[in-house]
Amino acid sequence: MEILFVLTIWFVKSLTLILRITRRGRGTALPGLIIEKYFPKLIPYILQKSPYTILITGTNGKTTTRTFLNNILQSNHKVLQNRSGSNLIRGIVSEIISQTNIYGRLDYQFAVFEVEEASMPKITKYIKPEQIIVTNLFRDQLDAYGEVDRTQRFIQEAIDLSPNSLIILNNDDPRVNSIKVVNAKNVLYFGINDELVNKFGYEGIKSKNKNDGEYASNLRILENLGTSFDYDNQQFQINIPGYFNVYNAMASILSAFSIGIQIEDINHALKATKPAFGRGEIINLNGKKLHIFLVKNPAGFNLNLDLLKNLNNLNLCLVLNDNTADGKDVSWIWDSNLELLNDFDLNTIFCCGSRSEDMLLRCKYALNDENMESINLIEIKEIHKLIEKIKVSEEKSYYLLLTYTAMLELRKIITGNSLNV
Amino acid sequence: MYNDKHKLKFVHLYPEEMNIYGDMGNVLTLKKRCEWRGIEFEITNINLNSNKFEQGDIYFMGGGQDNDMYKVFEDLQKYKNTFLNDEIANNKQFLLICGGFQLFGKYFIDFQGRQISGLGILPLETKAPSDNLHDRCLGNLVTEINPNLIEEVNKYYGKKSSNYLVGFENHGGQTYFTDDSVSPLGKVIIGSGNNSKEMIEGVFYKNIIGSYMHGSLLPKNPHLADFIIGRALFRKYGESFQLTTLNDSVEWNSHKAILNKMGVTYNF
Repeated sequence: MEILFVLTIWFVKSLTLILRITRRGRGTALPGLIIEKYFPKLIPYILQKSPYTILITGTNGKTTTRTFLNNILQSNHKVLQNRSGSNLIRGIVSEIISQTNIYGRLDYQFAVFEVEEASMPKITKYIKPEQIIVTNLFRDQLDAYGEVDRTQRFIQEAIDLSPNSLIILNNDDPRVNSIKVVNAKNVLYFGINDELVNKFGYEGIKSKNKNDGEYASNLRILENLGTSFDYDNQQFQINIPGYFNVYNAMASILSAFSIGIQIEDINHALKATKPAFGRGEIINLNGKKLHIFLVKNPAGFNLNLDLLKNLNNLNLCLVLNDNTADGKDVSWIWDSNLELLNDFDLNTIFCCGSRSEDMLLRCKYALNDENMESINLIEIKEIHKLIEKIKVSEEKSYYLLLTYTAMLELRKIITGNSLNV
Repeated sequence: MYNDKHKLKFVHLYPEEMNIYGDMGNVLTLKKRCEWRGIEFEITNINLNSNKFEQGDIYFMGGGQDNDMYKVFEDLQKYKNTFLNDEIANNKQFLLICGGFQLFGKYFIDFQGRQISGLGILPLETKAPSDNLHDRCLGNLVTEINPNLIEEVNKYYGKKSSNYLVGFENHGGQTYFTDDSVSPLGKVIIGSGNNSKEMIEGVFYKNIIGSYMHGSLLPKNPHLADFIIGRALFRKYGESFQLTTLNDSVEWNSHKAILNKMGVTYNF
């Protein structure tokens, strides 16, 4: 089997190279695609190569949690991780193949993978992860995932398949803390002890008996929209915009601490972590700052809006695409609380993307009559035209909330490359 | 044209449980379109376990997840059946989306074969063939409004507008009429509609509109929103009036964007 594996690695690596050179194939998932098509029987074998593995799943926060953990672990270890767009089996297989050397060895101590919720049962059939982190369960792209109940079943199934894994669960989310873990010794709960919790709009019935857990407290929102918080008699600081990232930090702390990483090292790494792809990162464009926030569901939309509420003279761009990766159903914008905008100090709202008309309509029904008069509400369908407009404007900063493919498009126009900054 | 006495009371059935797929957009649309015209719009809710409620002018129920639907099914039978039947007999307006639409039918059989009886007000039955996403009716939906309705839609909207309804469907249940006493809301141009065979969508029966259309339904279909508002006002005040014309350019642009996207030609 091993020799077959090595031969396959050679074959796939060569084929990937040829396809890329001849421009007949691209994308990070290409090796995974080749395996799926020609060697599907090898998938279990490849996945079993994964070292100490941490799987991160849930609706929101997967990428930021992976980024935190990677930063914590990589100072002393080699960490294998996937990219945010490659969170299906195919992406993980690709990552393992790409990093396996020509002798068939995967020279890493840790693998930190974010996994799309519905892929969890398939992946845990083959990988026996050391840890599983579940961030939260919100309504998300119902056209792709179906109902949240269904998603919850997938995650439960994956955890049932992993009886020896350490399970790290959000204790504040009733849908997550009701997940059953057979061996009570194998579960850790995290949460936030702060009134900000009420902003999250968790669904499901709040259980009266919360599990014992580890809580962040005393949250303070910083000027850069990062957050400081207290946990275990220490003060932590994260510089990724969004107090919701305290959950992702707490999950990472519990995960890393249980591996044996010193709390001081964890603290230091969290502080130094920069925003991942589209999670509040700043892109400079002709001297203007573009703050980039990915939005894909009402929970994320509401939290990102709430984050911006105290800014002055805000220039907001709402970019809604309806490609498969965004969700073809844009109904969710009506579940999002755009009415929050009425209390903002707004200068301009640009509505963009393949469904700019829907976003404009949503704003029309969200804004009160007074704001409809005073705010510049402008539809610009094409993203490149929006960028041109921003380039020549007098304003110094823009906040962009974009769906996934809109974010890729924006990045490609600005940097010429959709994946790297 | 309106004065202080013009007021509509809107009753939201089970807003906690039956609220997926952006159905709040329907509530917001009715509210705003009334308020822009100086018509007072009051929203009340009917929740699980309550057995006392005030009468309203427009009733609305949205879609829910399967598990929430079971709770609502039981509760409807137990506490609300008589009241809602009386209100339908009183010619009140009802808008039922997806799960709400199914629950007013005779019964619903889920993918595991569990059968739940509905209110039986609408002669229809619904079966979900499986839990598989491939078996769901899912995607953009365009229908042509039932020709028997179009004149009345135009009358309340104040002028001829689109003959179409546009939205998005996402449902596992396949719905069939069990007799001829009801008509569909529209003929399917793009998408599945009530089921994957008959190319019809929704239901129109007495003053009940049922539909699988999300998107939400009413924001992008202002003619249908005004049809519901107009009928409710007419029933309540009996005056022959026209609704004030609103500037609906943003609404129609989003309506036309779907028609363009789906390659449906139009002339309005």
